[in-house]
Amino acid sequence: MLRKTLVVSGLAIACVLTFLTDLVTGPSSLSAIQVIQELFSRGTLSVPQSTIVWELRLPQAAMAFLVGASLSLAGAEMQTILNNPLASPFTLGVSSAASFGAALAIIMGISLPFVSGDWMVPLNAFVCAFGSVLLLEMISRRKAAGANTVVLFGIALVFTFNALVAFMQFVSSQEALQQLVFWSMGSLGRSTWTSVYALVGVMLVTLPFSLRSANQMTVLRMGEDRAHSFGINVARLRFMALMRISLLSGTAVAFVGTIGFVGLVAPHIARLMLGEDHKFLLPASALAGGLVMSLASVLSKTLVPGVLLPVGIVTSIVGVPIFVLLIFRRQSAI
Amino acid sequence: MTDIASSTPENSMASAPALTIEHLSAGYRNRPIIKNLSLMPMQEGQVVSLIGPNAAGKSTLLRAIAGLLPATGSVRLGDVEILGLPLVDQARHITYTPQELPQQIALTVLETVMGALQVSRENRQDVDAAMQKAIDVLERLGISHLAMEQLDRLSGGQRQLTSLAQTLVREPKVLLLDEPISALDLHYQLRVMKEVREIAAEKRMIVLVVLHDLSIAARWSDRIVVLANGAVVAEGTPQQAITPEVLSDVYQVKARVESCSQGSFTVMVDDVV
Ligand SMILES: Nc1ncnc2c1ncn2[C@@H]1O[C@H](COP(=O)(O)OP(=O)(O)O)[C@@H](O)[C@H]1O
Ligand SMILES: [Mg+2]
Repeated sequence: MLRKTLVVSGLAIACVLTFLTDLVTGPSSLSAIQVIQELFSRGTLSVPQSTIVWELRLPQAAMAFLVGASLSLAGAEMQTILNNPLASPFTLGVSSAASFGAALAIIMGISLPFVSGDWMVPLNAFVCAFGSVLLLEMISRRKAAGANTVVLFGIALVFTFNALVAFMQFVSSQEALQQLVFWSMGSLGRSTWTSVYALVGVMLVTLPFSLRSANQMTVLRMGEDRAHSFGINVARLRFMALMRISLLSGTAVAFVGTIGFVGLVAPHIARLMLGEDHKFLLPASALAGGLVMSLASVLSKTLVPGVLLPVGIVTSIVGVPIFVLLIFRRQSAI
Repeated sequence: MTDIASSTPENSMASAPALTIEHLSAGYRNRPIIKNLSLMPMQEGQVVSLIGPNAAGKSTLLRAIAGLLPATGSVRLGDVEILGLPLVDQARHITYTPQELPQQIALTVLETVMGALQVSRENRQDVDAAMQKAIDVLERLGISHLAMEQLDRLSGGQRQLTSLAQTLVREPKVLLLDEPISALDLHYQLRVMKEVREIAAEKRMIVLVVLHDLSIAARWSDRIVVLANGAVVAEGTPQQAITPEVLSDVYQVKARVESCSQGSFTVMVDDVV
């Protein structure tokens, strides 16, 4: 118990440190001390420099952490309620659905009525992501459908949406294509305070409910019959979790595009460190996800000097080694 | 050891709630398994064994009683009709322990057992009390040394004991155990049966347990129900229910039922018929 609390605290501290590193790295010639001074008393720097800190660095760093945390929390809950270690917003088609929504807006100009230009892409992405989770939910609610059916259906969604997007790319103009490719690589460049507030709001709404059902999720890991017989309404637990998952991953993906790896791997990192008591696993997954994304954000700015890589590419570069390392460490322990 | 069979007389408390199962039918989609099954009422503190060949419907019957399958008929605890109660209320009365514990879970034995307690709202006592209760049960089953061990590093038998501990810690009124000793060695087979009997008597539980070893069933149960093809073939005291005729009928074996020098009896199987 104490050990686990310490591990979670350690993760939180690592998150804060990485977040600060993320804040002070970037292409403009600001020193770390200058940035930190500016954060404590606004207006220390010149107006353009101050704008860089407050309107670019801070929302982007916050967004990196929040997106990682949201996707990872969604992935952790998904893996438990679908009883499948391969489940994540990315592997079950939620991200693909979001790409599809974005493509509809970027290439076809199709969107919900009364939505202005700036909001078209994120809103479309959100609606499609949400819809795909509802589809998964409907499948999982059918009595005969086991967890595997849901996962197979999710994989079918991935292929369907990817094919639809590929089709639209095929018929699209050069300019729209470029925009779409950039979107689907995942980038923090479009972060604004609005997007930060939106994700903070979603986190504040979902996290308390996640933590409240943590004990039930722990027992669900031991099998549905057992969970039922301990008085858990598994269908309701699943439904509520899928609602949270769609909110979390839909919002995250809507603002930054496809980020593939975090939702799958960060929960496993948390699981390997802490086990599956969900009271610890869920918060630790969120922290691990935020940490991986912050690290990826730092690297996306420093890996190739002078070039800002799309963060979606870098997530895999950061996540895979950590993941492989943990797997091998665990195997040698057994 | 010799007073076991008399520790829970069948008719000790007429007013105590009994478990009554009448006209129960249950099964899977388009596949009825249990057909219009009724059992003699089971009294508090009693251990009733359910025996029968593979695919007789033993697990199906337990799952139906626990409300895990759609079923018709009546399952009453005292005057309370349990069938069709909301899950949470049902779980307050009945707990079902499935045959197997799923593999590949990154939880310790203690977390597994405590989880079973902490999951329901009325049981959400403070963590220390839950831990103490869990440790008590682990001690009774003789596996307290495994408390901090990871579930996926246990042997099959140790996992089975953990699974049983998880159910016992909830202290349900009705305990349904599906083959709880199938993976255990000689020592733990007896230990589990003995503890289950003692706990049933102490906490006034009603225990319905699926067993394959007829001699163990005969030795440790107040009553035996023999099930085949979803129907009751024989029911009564061990002597009444386990006879060469029933065994030949249900298991297609030629068997003798011999009483041993200490009063209990043993089933000897000579041949298949
Ligand atoms: N989930 C299921 N779906 C359909 N049929 C099932 C299912 N589970 C068990 N059965 C069938 O019900 C019958 C009884 O099974 P079960 O109750 O598990 O037998 P037992 O526990 O006595 O060995 C078997 O014929 C089996 O094939
Ligand atoms: Mg069975």
